Order: sequence, then C-alpha cells, then structure tokens
Amino acid sequence: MNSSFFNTSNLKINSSYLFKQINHVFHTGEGMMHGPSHLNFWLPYFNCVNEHTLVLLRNLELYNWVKVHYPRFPVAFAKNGNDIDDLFSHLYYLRNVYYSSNTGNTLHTLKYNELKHIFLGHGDSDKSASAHKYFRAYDDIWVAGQAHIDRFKNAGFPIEKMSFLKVGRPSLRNILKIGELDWDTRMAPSFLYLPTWEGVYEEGNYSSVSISDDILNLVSSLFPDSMIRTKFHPVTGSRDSNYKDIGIHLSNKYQKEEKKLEVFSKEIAVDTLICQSNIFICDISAVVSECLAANGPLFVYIPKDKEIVISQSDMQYKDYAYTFSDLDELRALIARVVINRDDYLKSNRLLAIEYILSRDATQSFVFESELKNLVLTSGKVVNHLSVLRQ
Amino acid sequence: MSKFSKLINKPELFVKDLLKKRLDIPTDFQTKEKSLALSTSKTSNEAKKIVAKKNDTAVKKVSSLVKEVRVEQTLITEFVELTDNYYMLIHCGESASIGYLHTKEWCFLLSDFKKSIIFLVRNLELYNKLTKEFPEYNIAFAKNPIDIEALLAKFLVKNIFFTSNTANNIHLLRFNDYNHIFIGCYDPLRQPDMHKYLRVYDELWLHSASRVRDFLENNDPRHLKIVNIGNPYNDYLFTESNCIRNIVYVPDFTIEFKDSFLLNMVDYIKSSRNKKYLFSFFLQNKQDIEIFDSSISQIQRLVNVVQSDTTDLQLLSTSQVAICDFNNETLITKFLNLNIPVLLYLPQYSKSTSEYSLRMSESLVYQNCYIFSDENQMISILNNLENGGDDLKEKRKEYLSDNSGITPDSNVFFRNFFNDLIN
Repeated sequence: MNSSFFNTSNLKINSSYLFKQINHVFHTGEGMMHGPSHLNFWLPYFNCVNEHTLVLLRNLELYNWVKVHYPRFPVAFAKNGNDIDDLFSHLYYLRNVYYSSNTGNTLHTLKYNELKHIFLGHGDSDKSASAHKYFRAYDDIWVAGQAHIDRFKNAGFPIEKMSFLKVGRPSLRNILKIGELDWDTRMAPSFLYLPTWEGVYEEGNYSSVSISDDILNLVSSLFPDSMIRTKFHPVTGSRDSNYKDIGIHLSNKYQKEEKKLEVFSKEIAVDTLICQSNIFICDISAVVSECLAANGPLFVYIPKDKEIVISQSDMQYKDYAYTFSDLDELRALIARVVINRDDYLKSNRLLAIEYILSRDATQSFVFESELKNLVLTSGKVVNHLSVLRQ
Repeated sequence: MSKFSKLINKPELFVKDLLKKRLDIPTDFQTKEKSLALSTSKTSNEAKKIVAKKNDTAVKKVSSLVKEVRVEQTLITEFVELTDNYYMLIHCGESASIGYLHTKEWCFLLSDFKKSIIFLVRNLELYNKLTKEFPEYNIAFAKNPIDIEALLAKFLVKNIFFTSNTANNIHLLRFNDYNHIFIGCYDPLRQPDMHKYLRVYDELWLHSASRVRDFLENNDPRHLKIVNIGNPYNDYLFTESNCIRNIVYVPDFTIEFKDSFLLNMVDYIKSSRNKKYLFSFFLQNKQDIEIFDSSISQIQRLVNVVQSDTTDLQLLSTSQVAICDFNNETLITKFLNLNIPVLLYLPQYSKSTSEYSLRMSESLVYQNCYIFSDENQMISILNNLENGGDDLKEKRKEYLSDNSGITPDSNVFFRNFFNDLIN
C-alpha cells in the first residue's frame, strides 16, 4: 500500500494502524465547535477497545486535536464521501460505526449496508433534536435510559422497527456516586448555573442567557457568602453574536463588584463543576441530566411566551426539577427548597435518575460490556466492499 | 467626515456608502435604496435637526435594513405565492450544475402541478438560473438550517420530496411533522445506491420494479413505504411502426477485432447490397474515434459517426434499430429502455463464443436481443422487423416495465401519485 495515499489533503491516517484489526469506527462529523466535547464524552470509555477503534473525523483541525489529546487511538481524517470509500476499502475487519451526532456528512458512512451503525449521541435532553426521523437510518440507538426511548415514542412517528439498547451513562459514573450522599449533608449550599446556548434553530432556543446576569445577581443576593459558579455553553453567541463574549463580560463585572460569583471558561469540564456543587440552575439541555446525576435541587428555566418544541419523555421537567420562567418564580422556589429545606421533589428525582440515566446499568459497566461484545475476535473479513462496486 | 456626522448631515450618503461598502445588494433592494434616497433628499435644515434628534431611530432603521438585506440573501421566497393551500415541497440540495438537471427535470415532469409545488434549492446560482428559466414556478432559496425553519413556518407544507441524498437534507428531515419522500431523478447515471441511509425517509418512490427489488434484496425496509411510481418518459416509446430507416451500430474496440462485426458492417455498407438504411456508428470514447479513423476511413462518407458524450440520447432515440457487438451491455440496456430492437452479433468459431453464450444465458439484457452471426442473418432479422415480425416486442415491453418502470400507461400512473397528494 502506498503510504502517501493516506496523507493527502483530503484523507489522512497513520498508515501503521491500517494493519490493525479495526472493528469500530467512532465518527464525528463536527468541527472544533462541538467536536472536542463529543469526543471527551465517549472516547475515555472506548479505552477498553481502543486498539480496535478508529476515530474518524471530518474536520482537519479536529483530527489534529485528537492526535494530541487521544494519542492511544488510531485517528483518520476523511473530508468527502470518496475519501470515506477509500478509507473503508482498507478496513477489512470493520463491523461497527458509532455516531455522536446527526451531521449531514453521516450519509457517507451510513450507505454501507453491511456495517452496523450505532447512534450514541452526546448527552440526554428533551431538546427537539433528541428524537426525530433522521435517527431511523441507524441500526441501533444506544440510549442512557428509558426516558430517551420514550422521547421517540412520543415524537409522533412509528418507532416499532427501531432498535434501542439501554447502556447507562458512563461519563456520569463518578457524579452518580457523589449523588448517593444527600445534597445538604455533603456541603454547604453551593450553586452552579449552566445556561445553554441559543441553538442551531430558533425553534430549539431555550437559553436563559439573556437574563443570566439577573439570575446570578438574584442567587448572589440570597446567598452572599456562598460560592456561585457559572459556565456558559462553549458555543454561546455562535448564532447570536450579541452573546459571544458574555462570559468574559460578566466575569469582569463580578470581579469589579467583588462578588463571590465565578465564571468558568470553556476549558473547565462541566462534570468537575458539578462535583463541586450541590444546587443547580439549568436551561433545557443535556446538562439537566448531568446535574440530575448529582442528586441536588435542580432549577430549570422554561421560557415563557414561546412555544416549547421538545421531545418529551414520560417524565416532565416539572416532575423532578423546580421549573421557573422568571426571577420571581426562581426566588420563591429557592426560598422554599433551599432556605426552608423543603426539597419536595427529592423522591421523584431519584426515580428520574434511574429513568433517565439508568444508574444500575451505568454502575455495572453495561456500555463497556456491549462494546467488548462487538469486538470481532474471529478475524472474519466483512465484505462491505460490495457497496463500492455498486 | 466621520460616519456619525455623515449620518446626521448626509444620511442619504451614509446609507449609500454603507450599502456600497458593506453589503452585496440584490437588484430588488436597489429600489428600496432609491426610495430611501428620495425621501432623504428632501432634507432641509429643519429636517436635519429632526434627523439629529432622531439619530437613534435612524441607526435602528439602517440596522433593520441591514438585517433585511441579510435575511433576503439567505432566504429568498419572493417567487413563491403565499396561499392558504398546502404545497408540495421539492428539495434539491445539490450544487448548480447537478441541481439544475434534477430540478429542471421535475419542473417539466410536474408542470401541470406547478402552482402546488415549491422548488426549494440551496444554491444561489441554481436559484438564479431556475427563476430566470422558470419564472412561473414557485422557486425558493434557503441557505442555512434556520432559513429552512423560517420557510416552513411561512408556507403550508405536508409532503417534502427529495431529489437526491445530500448532506443538507438533514435540515428538513429533522422535522417530524412532515411526510418525507425520496423521489430521486430519472437520470440513469445518477441513480442512488439502495442503501440504509434511505431509511431516513418515510417513503421511497422508486421508478421501476427492479429498483424496488434491488432495495428489498439489500435492506430491511423497516418503516419505509416503498412505491413504484413508474417512469413517465413514454410518449414516443410505444408508437407502432415497422418502418426502419435509421440504424445505429455500436462497435466494441475492447474485444478482439475478429469478434467484432465492424469489418462485415463496413463491407455491407460500402457494397451495393445496402440500398435503404442510413447507418450511424456510435463510438464510445476518443480512442474509438482514433482507431476508427485509421482503420476504416473508406466508409466515413457513407456513415454518420458520433461520439457518445455529444449526442447520446438524441441519436439513440432517433434510431429504429441498434446493432451491437457483444460487450456493450450498458449501451444495450439504454436501447432496450428506449424500446429499440437490438441485434447482437455473436461471432461463430471464435474462442470466445462459448464465453459469450454463457454470458448470454445469464444476462436478462442479452436475452432481449436478436442474435445474429453473419450478414444474411442480420438482413433476415431486419426484414422480419419490417414485416411486423418483431417477436421480442412483448418481452421487451416486460423488460422495459420491470427495469425502467415504463409502461404504455405509466405517464397517467405517475401523474396520479401527485394528483392524490394534492387532492
């Protein structure tokens, strides 16, 4: 094989990896905006099969990023559909392709009939992007818990022929462990506010970023001695440039005002902040389920005067989280739940943790077991090349 | 002059400069610019004071104009009539050149339904080309996912059709409330592979029974409703005529020279034995032309020589009979799809004869051809055809229906599918 074949401007791979028995391809069609977070979400849990897993990127910058941050994984960059064909024609043992998000370029790999296509996603939320018709192209959808299956069930199209597997949420294993202790015994009130971004589509814009300063000031006024942490979504302002630098702006402001408010940069992992906190304020987004894992009072912003188009599971936010639409509601809820210690949704929260995150499956490493089961040990060559001949 | 003082003192100039320097303005916006300039040209000293007082408002107006222009550039719906009726949306996510072929084809095929269809394209050059050529059609341009969202909010749509599998289809497929239908195109060179990705749609409208079989043999259809809508290109294929005037011969220069009918054909054409047929030689690539020129220049005046990439379909459809050497299966398929009788030369006493016979028994394409091995047999078959003895006529019809979806009534059948959706 000509090694230069895999070092063109459109197709790159360390050729020494080609002779390994690659059974899995982890595909992300994202760029630097979302790619690193999606990869950080899953790759640590592919470690158990890392020598059999090729990380396939469609963005050159992200390819270079993976080479630096995950040097133990074989990595490839393939720009176009033809480049995917070239690459796959050399991966004789490939059986499974995993996807972290629905990007348009997934069509280049989904056309391989003889491969198994598994959607993993990158979190668990009721956002409308969580359950739509595009998912039908995949052979299997691996979900954290029953909630995601129910989101599809309630999405308005038949799902009988779709295949789901509950694998828990490996990335939340540590947080679930912390959540076994009651929130008010493990530390003094410590708030974490995680607003989402404005979304790709206006339909999916649930962000509280426009009132973020007010929310933080409110909490600060109620708990002047407590540490209040916040982290804006890394891509905040990418659609609405008014919010592009809001984190820096607020951080500077709070420093001047000498408030105990800390705005963290995008480099700080959300799960690190979750572990340091026990009360959470979020928007409709995947971080709700991550904060839920920590089993502390959870306040979720539901925008009013706006049609909320979400993929609803059988448990609504109001069943396990304290929902608010304005500052007065938030103030009243914090007073009752945190100040007066009336955490009336505590038992529902525990139900939601199992329903959304499958605590048991997570703690018993179901995801890793399923991955290992799919490692091809016999050396059987998969004839996916027929696609190329069509 | 600073920008701010320009805005205060010469607002018309400010706007003009802003538009000139920072924006790429579509033609229709120039009218807005003119009217704005006209209104501001009346600016007197008194008016200037008012402008100064209301400079905030002016800035807002300018920024709203800027926004408007930007919106217009990524979402253009001015060619779409706003009605209370439901539209069928036909999406083409291709670039200008391929997209033009796809969309143009559907514009022609669905011309009767044009008031009920929005053609949505994702390429501005394609949009400009189509709106120029088909001004009476509803054609829209949407660049980004958010523009798709705005378009669907503006017009009533139930069914969304996709002419090909492109990466930007996902911007529409994510909407659960619509019925997503893949219709592809009729260009034989651009047929999609029958793969799993097609499961993203609700319905798969294929153009022949063989395509349906092809999909089912390779996939579990799951939720997919698979429909054979046939092929409406049948207007001229079933006209009964025994008159043979134009014959196309397709030599194959990839096989051994003695296995080709070429020399025999040349001999026949230049002899006095051919009194009534006009022959065209169909050469498939440039090398063929070179070989042809050097070896058989003596008949060049007697035949029409064409290369496949120039007048392909035009030549094929004006020929009443095709004569082919053995290797041309792709081209033979094209002839059969046009319901043209094919005479296939099977050389006798060649070392490849047994191989050819085996391939013939395995290929449905070859089984729909008349076989001949010398000039006499060729003439005999041509005479039979002229005398109404087209023994393979029915078999060819079956093949045509199965392989290309073309039947005598497929045009009506095809229209009914779209009629049903509208009514």
